[in-house]
Amino acid sequence: MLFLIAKRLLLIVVVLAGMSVITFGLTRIIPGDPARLLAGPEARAEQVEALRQQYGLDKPVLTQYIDYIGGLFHGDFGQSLTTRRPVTEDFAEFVPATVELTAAALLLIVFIGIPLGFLSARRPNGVLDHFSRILTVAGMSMPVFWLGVLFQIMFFKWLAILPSGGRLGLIESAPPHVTGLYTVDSLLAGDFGLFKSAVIHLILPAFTLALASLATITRVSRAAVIGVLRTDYVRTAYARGLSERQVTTRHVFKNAMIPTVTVLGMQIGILLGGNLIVEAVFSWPGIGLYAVNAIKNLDFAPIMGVMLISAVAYVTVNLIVDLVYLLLNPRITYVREPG
Amino acid sequence: MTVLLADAATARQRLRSRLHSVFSRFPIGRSRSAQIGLILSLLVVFIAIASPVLTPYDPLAIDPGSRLQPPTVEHWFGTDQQGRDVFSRTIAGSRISIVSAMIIVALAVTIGVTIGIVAGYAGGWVDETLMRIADVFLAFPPLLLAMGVAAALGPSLSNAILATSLVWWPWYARVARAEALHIKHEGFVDAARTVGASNARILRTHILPVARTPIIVQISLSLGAAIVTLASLSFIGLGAQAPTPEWGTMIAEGRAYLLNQWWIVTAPGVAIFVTIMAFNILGDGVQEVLSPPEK
Repeated sequence: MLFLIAKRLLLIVVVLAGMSVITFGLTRIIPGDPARLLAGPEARAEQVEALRQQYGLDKPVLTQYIDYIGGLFHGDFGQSLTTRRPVTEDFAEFVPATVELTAAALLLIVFIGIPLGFLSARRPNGVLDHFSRILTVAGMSMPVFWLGVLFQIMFFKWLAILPSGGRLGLIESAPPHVTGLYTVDSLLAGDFGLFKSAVIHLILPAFTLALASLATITRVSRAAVIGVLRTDYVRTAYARGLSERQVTTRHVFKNAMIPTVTVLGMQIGILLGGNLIVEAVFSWPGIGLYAVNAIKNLDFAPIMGVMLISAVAYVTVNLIVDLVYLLLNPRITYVREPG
Repeated sequence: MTVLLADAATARQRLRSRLHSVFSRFPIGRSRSAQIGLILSLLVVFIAIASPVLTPYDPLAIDPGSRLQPPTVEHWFGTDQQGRDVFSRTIAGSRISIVSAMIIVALAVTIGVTIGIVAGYAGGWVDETLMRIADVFLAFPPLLLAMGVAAALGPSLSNAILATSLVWWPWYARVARAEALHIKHEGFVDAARTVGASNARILRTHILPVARTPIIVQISLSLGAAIVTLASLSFIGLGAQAPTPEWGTMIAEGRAYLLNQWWIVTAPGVAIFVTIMAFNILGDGVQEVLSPPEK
């Protein structure tokens, strides 16, 4: 078991090194001269040259790469041209909003998707099963940006019950900073009015971000339960006279969680990508919106920074999923793919 | 006369047996979603092919006199902020999305399958190196990798296509590698090697054809996702640029008029939803028919 974890960690080091090569490589294939881009269109030749030296762009590529890696270890993701601040400072401001949105979406996926899948599997072709089938087919085919816009038309314009964007109303100010999550901070400050507003602002973006993954999880958990219900050990459990409830909690639920958790880990990648779109649609001031604004200004340090920290978050989540997997199923020995 | 009829009869018979062999290899009769998906997908592809004939107006023609008109008999889906016909633009968009998705998948298959079968067949450090490279690509959230590459290459439709195919090649590499590993010790591969066939020849004539089925399944599953990714890149400004009638771009442009002119975003939104759903249902069906879940 320890060996397996060590091997997995080693693989992650390889993956992280590879990622840094990719993000570094991408900043080098940018058409045009980064120093000139940094200096702006009106800069004189000597200003550009000074910047080139300041950022070490005159050094050999390998030295530049080593400097880049060294910087990353010190939390230096470079300077944003748009906000004129270090990317790390911008992250401190924008990451909590993204964490709040992603966590809310994840809660919806886990507490709606998994129960829906499990209940649909109990009565295949029942009313609930048909409903969840329609939901999964539609949910998996709905592009995030169109869903967000559709929600805005329906709930903001027509029904006028939910706001169209932002984290709080225009005249409200953020709760005192503790975690940076407005829902949590407003509760800590004991301000229930603000908490309500924070939740109301969270509903549409969170559902928009969650729907495709929620559909996937419903489908996977339904298939998993149906698979487990057909196994011999479930039949044996019934034969031993265990009640439906005992079989469900002891055998079915636990075993069906294994594939579900794996797919859930993979969905985190979809959510982290979806943040770009959802935050842009709902003006949600997280790192997704930050990256999209950076794209409009061809501001590369934030783009690569967002790409890198999202990838690290994704890799970390999947490592945790693998470990949970080991706990859920002690029989799993880590064989990497066939062969 | 009778001779001609007899010829026609044999020709018909030959056609029927040819069709029969195709259908026995892809028994779509077994899966209702394969049938529905195939019909819907063919419809979408037909619209894409016939789009120049189906569009009542030039999708790029600006008409300042009829800006922001709601749906009418002349303009079924209304007009946009520059007076362009939304129906024509939506129809024209199908061609861009579908052709782009096909290019993305073709590129990803070419890169991925080549790397995958070489890795599986060669084994050893070649396999290890190639698969770790694939792992690195798979470790990025898909849309973020595409975004980074597309941003670095510069915003344009062709760069977005290239960036999106970079997201998908590792999946094909994995599928192809697994097949190559599976087959390389089969008797017919050994036999080919014994008679002196080169490695390249073995890969091309013996391994590739066998690996075809799982690759077809993978292709059918990724068409819809390719369309979404590309449209998402366009939506954030990294794909097709205005005034190209691409669905993601159209929705991004139409968002400014969301509250009073909802039809500008609705037509491309519904079009992209239907298209992706068609390909997803087809993908499920193909998977059901070609690789039924193991019991």
